Amino acid sequence: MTASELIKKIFFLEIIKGLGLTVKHFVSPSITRQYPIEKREPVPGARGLHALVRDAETGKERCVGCGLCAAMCPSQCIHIYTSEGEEHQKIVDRYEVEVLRCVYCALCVEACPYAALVLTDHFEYSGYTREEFYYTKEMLLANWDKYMSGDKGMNYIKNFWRPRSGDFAKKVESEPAEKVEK
Amino acid sequence: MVQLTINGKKVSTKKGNTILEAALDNNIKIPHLCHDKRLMPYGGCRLCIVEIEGRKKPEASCATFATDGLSVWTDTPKVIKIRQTVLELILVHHPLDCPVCDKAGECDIQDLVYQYGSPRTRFVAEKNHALPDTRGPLVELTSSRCVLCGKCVRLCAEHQGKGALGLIGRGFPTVVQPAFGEALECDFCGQCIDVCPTGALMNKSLKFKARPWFLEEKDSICSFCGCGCTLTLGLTDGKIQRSRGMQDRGVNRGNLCGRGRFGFDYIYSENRLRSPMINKGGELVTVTWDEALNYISDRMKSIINAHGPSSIGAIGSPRCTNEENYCFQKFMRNVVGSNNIDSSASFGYGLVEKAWHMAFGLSGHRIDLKYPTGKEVILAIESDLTVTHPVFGLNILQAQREGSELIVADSRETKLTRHSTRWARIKQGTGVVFLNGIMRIMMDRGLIDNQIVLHMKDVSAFEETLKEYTPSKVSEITGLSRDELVTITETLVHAKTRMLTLSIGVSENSKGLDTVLAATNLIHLLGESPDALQIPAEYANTFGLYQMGVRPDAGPAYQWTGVEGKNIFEMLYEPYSLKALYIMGADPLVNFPDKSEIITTLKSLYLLIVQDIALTETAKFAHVILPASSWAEKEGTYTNAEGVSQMLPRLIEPAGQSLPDWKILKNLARTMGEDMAVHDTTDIVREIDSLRVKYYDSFPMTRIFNPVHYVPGEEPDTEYPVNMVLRDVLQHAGSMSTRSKTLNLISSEALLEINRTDADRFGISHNGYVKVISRRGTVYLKAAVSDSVPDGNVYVPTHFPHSAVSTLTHQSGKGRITTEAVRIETA
Ligand code: SF4
Ligand code: SF4
Ligand code: SF4
Ligand code: SF4
Ligand code: SF4
Ligand code: FES
Repeated sequence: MTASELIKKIFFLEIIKGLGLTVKHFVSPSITRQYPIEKREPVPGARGLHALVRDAETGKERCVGCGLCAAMCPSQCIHIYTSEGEEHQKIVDRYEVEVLRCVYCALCVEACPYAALVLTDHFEYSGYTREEFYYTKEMLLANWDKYMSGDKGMNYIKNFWRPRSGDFAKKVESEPAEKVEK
Repeated sequence: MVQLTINGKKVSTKKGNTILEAALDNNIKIPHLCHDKRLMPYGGCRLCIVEIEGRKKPEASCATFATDGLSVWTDTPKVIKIRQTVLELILVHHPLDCPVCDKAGECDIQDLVYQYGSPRTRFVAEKNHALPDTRGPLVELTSSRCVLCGKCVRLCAEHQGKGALGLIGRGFPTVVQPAFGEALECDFCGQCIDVCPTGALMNKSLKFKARPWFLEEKDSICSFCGCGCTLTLGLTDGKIQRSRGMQDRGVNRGNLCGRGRFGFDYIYSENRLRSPMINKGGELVTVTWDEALNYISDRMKSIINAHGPSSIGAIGSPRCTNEENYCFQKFMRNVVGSNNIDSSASFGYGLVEKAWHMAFGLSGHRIDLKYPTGKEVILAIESDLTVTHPVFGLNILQAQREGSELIVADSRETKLTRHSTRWARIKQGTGVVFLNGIMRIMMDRGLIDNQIVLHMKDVSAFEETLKEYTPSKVSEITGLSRDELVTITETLVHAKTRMLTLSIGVSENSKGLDTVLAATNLIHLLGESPDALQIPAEYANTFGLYQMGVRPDAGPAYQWTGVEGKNIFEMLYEPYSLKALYIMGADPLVNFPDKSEIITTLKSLYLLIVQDIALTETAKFAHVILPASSWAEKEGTYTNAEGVSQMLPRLIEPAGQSLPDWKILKNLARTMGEDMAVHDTTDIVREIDSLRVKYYDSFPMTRIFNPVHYVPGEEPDTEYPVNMVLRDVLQHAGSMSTRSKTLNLISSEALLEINRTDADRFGISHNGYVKVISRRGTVYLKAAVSDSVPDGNVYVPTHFPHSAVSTLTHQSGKGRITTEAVRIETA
């Protein structure tokens, strides 16, 4: 045992150092959030509850029911039922997400050629039954209105997903998201 | 065999194959869009391009024959570049609306572009925006997605023999269209949908209903005709959404007719029976299984006690599986103790079996769907096999294309006559005279096969019976000229390989046992093997039903019972001959002749049990109705006209409380205090297998002449001046198919086909309603004025319950020709 080691042992230097750190943290500002009381602002692009994009022009869903999102979804929680409309167009009769099964991978959002689906930054949802989390098309559209109001939604798509479809590229240009960026 | 090298690998292939076929046979993939095995080489898409050593330019492998010693490279940078460019060009105008195109996911263009395409395109042009042609009932044509591979056009013309589609225009504006841009009006086989590599031709009944990647595909067997095609069924959420043929799969090798492709939805009809019902005071009341079975058990027992088991009869079904028909006859023979069991086959396949036995001493007449291939002469007698057995018909058409002489003796113009090399337009129902006439000429000219005929007994007696069929008399009866008859005879005699074919069944009335016997006589004289006679069993399991012993004279596996039970004629057309009747999966009031006679019989019964999948016309007269599961809802086997037994998987949940027929029978036997010793279908299969001691091949073959004379059907007179002939329509088989919504879009009622001359004579207009009166009844039908039918005759199908054509018809009890004399008035 060398002399310096002996001195460290006699005077509890290591312990004093450790206590010093404790004392330092004791007086430094707290980093723990008091969650339900104190809420954190989600980072941009956070993935939470699903929403179906409401088309600004038609006021309806943008989704065409191509089923790519459902095909992609690893937890198979998206169910789409389509049919033929009066004018022979494709109609999305039902678009349903079992959100409790979702793993927030956002592969569905990535797959969508029309930017018709987003994961909003709303992450707090709780309830008493599973059925409450079976989101129908109307509920999902309401989510868009609620959590992605104003420019938020389009910015979200623009900044994080940038779908390749020509249709979307054109649309975004004319929409506020673009202007806000500039 | 030809030896060549593809990508450095030595492969061999049949002579006459193309390089593409050689590659595909050896599991080497070469991309292709416009090639189809069934069609002639076309070389239109240039995607199958390959490099061949020693040749300067790359060549289309689908249009280049494989020859010895060729060395082919399929994936060189050069060909890949060419393929890329070709795809780029294909996509110049292509709308790429994949998200709303139902083809996406199984689209050849998508797959190829994914494999070869470059993400950028050098050609920018206006996309094709042509709107889909939604006018047709079953097939939707979106020409904007068409890549002009021409497969649909060629398949329809070359393979289906229809030619309903054409490539119209030149250059960029070329489109696939029916003639004059009208809505598609065709056979509705839907084969074009299967071959189209893009979403240009789509199945309308599937439109926007399911994306291909969600369809779970399972194979099953078609429940309509005796061909026994393999259907590849796509299911989502436990519901069958579509049916398609997969190349090279099943006895049909991927071909399907419209019934198999579109008609499966009869199982979703609102008419399905979902729970047992008992007729209580004139009203059908839903009851529990227990109540229904106890009711039957009590009634049956008291009838057996009072009148003996022979007062109970049963009618089986060619729509039920082998296992079920086996249980049915076992129930009748062991539990009830009666041999009174028969089926619709007695009007058709049963007659063939009878003739087969009389002429050759054989049982279990089978056909070979491929038999027509390569035969020098094919003779079809008063039948349109492209309607009754469409896939067998396709093989006949193909044989004709490949050089067979196709002689069709028929009174009306059909697809078969249109493709025949010789159409002998005989008068309806005169097939026997026609055949006897041929035989008389053969006898007279010594054209018979002496080796065989001289060893047969009674040749001279037989010759004697032919005496009266002199060419002039034959000519007078059949309307065929003497020369024509002689030419046909000579062609038949001089051919080295031949096939004689006809269809026979309860839905036709211009042929009978006599016709089949006359054909067997001709086989003897020609010295042909019995195989040359190809008469397909009519429905999905007619063959199996017969083999399982649903017949009064023999039990399973052709074991004669000794005591012959009552046959269908005695059971249905002799009121009071029975006290109870158990009908499983048959609708005699629609399908069998002489409705009013049958109603009298049904009303005379103490107990009528109808076990079916839907509320049939017959069920409306039942005391007890038992709901059975449909073909897709249970396991079992069907034996097709080839004698091939094929598995039916259970695909969907049974409708309501319905049960498979064998289970119902098992439960009923138990209720009656008997044990059928079957717990599942494997038990039944084991039992059937152990019984198959005497199979068709174990019979010794003999040759016997069965002279037949021409007995016409009802002769027209002044009061009833027109002949009514029953003929099937392409869209239906039996009456169950009329419950298919999809098929009803194209054929929803019985049309009376009438010649223009007759139409004018009776003042009938096309699509107008007419009153048809026979000696037995009156019905109202829509008229279709058509040049295909000869004057003095009208042609009517029986399938449709609401058209009630069976009101007009009669039966002979002996399997004779039963054409009707009718009067026609405007309604
Ligand atoms: S985020 Fe992932 S798990 Fe959730 S719905 Fe989308 S694809 Fe499915
Ligand atoms: S991928 Fe987009 S357009 Fe397609 S079904 Fe899903 S949300 Fe709708
Ligand atoms: S045909 Fe194929 S490539 Fe064309 S739109 Fe349909 S799925 Fe897409
Ligand atoms: S419709 Fe389909 S099969 Fe016909 S030419 Fe066009 S792409 Fe080919
Ligand atoms: S009806 Fe006959 S030919 Fe048509 S698909 Fe069914 S089995 Fe095949
Ligand atoms: S497949 Fe050979 S050119 Fe189309």
